Amino acid sequence: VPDEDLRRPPDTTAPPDPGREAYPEPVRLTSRWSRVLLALVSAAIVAVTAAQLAVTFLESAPPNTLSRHYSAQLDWWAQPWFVQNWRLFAPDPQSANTTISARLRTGAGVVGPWINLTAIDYAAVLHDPMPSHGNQNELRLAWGAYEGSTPGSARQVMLRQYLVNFVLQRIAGPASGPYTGVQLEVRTTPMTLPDSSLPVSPSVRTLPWWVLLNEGSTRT
Amino acid sequence: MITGARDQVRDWSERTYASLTVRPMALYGSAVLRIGYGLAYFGFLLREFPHREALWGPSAAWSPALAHQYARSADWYGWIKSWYTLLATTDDTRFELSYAFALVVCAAMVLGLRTRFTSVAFMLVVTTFSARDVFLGDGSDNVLVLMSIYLAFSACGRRLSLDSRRRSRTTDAAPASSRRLATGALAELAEVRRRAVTVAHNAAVVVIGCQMCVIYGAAALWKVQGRTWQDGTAMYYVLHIDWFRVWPSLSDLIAGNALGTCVIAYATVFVQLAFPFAVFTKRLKYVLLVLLLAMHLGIALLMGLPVFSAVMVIGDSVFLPDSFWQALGRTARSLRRPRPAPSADVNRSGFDRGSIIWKGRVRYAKAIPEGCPGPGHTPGTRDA
Repeated sequence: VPDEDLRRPPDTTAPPDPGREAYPEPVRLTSRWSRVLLALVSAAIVAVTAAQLAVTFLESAPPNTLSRHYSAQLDWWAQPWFVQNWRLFAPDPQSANTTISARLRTGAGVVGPWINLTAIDYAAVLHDPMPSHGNQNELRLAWGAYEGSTPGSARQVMLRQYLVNFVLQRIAGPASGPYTGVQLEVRTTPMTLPDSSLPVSPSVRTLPWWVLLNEGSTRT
Repeated sequence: MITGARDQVRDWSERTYASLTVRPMALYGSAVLRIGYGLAYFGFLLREFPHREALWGPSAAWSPALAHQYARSADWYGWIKSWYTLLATTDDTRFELSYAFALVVCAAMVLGLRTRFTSVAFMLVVTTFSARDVFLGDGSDNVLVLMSIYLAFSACGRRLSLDSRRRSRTTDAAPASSRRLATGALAELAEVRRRAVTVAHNAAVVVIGCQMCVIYGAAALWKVQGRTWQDGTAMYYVLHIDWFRVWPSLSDLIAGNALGTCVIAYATVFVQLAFPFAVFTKRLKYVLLVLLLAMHLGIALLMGLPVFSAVMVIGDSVFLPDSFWQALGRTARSLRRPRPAPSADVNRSGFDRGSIIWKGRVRYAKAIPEGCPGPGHTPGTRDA
């Protein structure tokens, strides 16, 4: 049996490859077991590759008959490292800007002033060619994830704690006393096209106080 | 007729199998990906260095406790949960050491130092930093996680690396045929391993290419469902999102041009939609690569997303053939050649002297056909 990779004459017209000398021509596989072994290993790699490509496609596509049928298997393969989310500004980019403010309450019942958290971020992002994730993503995605979570779910409780920690990190001074509550106010201002005559009125949503518990957890 | 067809099929499958097992594709392409992603993450970690404690440290808003709770609540294997929470530590020293380790790994990735191990370490770094706070990452983190995993399966250190430089030196020193003389079961096993590595590398390159196509295809198909991308006003809204208004006056200037933003919105959708199919063409591919490059430059500058843009452009570069990178190297060297004393410069960089690149040039000079711009041409006459 002729060795499969020596059937093709070496390509002499191609330019010599820098670094080629480090990789000499392949050794002939003369024994049957080595050929079978290589074939098995190659088949396994090709199978895994095909599966990876299928998962990549199905995870990126909208939920469909196929992905719903195999949702358990898809999750098993894709979570947590092969998550695909390419809805970049799609189907539509956000058409409103969100301003998030927060205030703190101390044990004595003293309520601090509203502090605009997003304004801090916008000021940091302004004229910075490479903004930090902490200013461009953290509050934006944390709030988006909180809003998108099921009310009362464990996920929402975790995200609430995340937002509370973020607020404390941003506005609680080192000399301040122990806080007992955090409140958020979310102001949503719709963007309007220049030719639009619709009146713009921001909607304001004030969240209930989140009570801070001693062990670093919260409740509403 | 049937016998002929069968022979052809057999011939084709044998050739395909041979090239799959002994011909690693895109060795320069994967090396460029290695360097690019290493640089991108190195730059990212440097940029976030002053904020590292607040983003991923023991005192981060997404606290180590939350990170562990998140992993615990997931339906994953125990070892994946441990991997996922590797950076979620309450120990300051361990965190600082991890950060230093991550920077060193990124630098080693760029240089191509011990790439077999470095590429796996790079995957660990990118995945654990991304998993430390999964709500912190944008598209760039998502792409980087995927690419770092794929690259770990590739032979991305065989070109443009300190590894290849060292290997070519040691191979020069040893008798050239020493390896080929080895026979017996062990030598065959070593060869099977070598070919399996080639198969894995080729698979990784294919997956990287397909991943880029999926990104663009999905991004385009999500967009065509949106009303604003249909009526061409999407760019107006994108340019008014406060989180991405780095240069507001520039954003306003572009957003103020309704026709221009409409054209950009439509062009974005069509370019992204066409890309997965155009990569199979010879010329259109390059047109689209240039358009995508322009799009990403715009995103990087206007929206303050340079890491995302860099990550996407580097991913696009996997579609450039090795001959492109070799030609680029030749051009760069021929531009440098007229200098009176290049050796001093080369010595200082420590990268070119005595390396494969240097040898490649000398050998290539003989192989260039007449009339091709090559090392013999000076920059002044190159375009003449």
